[in-house]
Amino acid sequence: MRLRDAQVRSLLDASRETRDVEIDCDDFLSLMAEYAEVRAEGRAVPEGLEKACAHERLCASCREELAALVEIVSGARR
Amino acid sequence: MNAARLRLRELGADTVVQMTRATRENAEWVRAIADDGAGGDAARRDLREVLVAGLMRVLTARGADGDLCQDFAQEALLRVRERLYGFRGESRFTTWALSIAMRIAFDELRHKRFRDVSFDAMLDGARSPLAFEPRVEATQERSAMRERVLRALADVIDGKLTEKQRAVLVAELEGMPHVVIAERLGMKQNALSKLSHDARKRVKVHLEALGICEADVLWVFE
Repeated sequence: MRLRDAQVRSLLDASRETRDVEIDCDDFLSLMAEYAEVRAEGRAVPEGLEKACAHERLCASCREELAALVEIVSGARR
Repeated sequence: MNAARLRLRELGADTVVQMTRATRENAEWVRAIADDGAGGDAARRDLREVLVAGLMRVLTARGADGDLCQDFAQEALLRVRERLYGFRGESRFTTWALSIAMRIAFDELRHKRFRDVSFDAMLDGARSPLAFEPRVEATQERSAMRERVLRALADVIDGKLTEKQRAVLVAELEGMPHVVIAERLGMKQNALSKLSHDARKRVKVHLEALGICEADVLWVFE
């Protein structure tokens, strides 16, 4: 198995972001609506959503869904 | 194309604007969606329009057409009703419903995107010893640090991860989403998340034990 540099970087980033306690994608979904509104409104991330923020950095799928939801919510606010 | 679908095709992003500013408050949405009568039908119709317009806004560029967005919205509507009393009211109701629609739609598109990707070939790759692409660094110091980091990664991945952890790690690095990996491995997604977390944790602990810090990594790989 040959890893490209981009994959090595991705692995090192993921390792750096790893915490003892993390939420999974289902937990993220339960926070995503609130988190998307915070992001769309440009507010500081409240303490209760920090774990969502950490998961977003680790999970490309949840990041993609969140970006789409923020786009919709931001559009709705304009 | 029926009239309802034609109308939805004509609805643009403005619909999302209008619908997410709909006059219903959260509690009213919950009450109405749960209502099996005519009031409930109207609310479900309104919510469905919000969902379709939102889905079309973000999925058209990803190749999803109006019919597919309709299907996603329908499935999301069913799931919203199932989870209705799990809504905590910490966002607008429509944002919450849209978050459920996003998960359904993107997961389905991920399954389609990876339908023809061989997981077995990926697993075969995961079984062979780790190698890295060669690169000439500007200085000997940098080259030595790169070697040190890569050797550490090879040691932990080849020697300290289970076969399943390696497989998951490789699939993740190849860009395969968890929903697809879980399906191919016949696992629940939360079990897969735990497996992935344990693998990353082992890598992190190993690098830390060798004194490889973030600054070293950034110096060589950023």
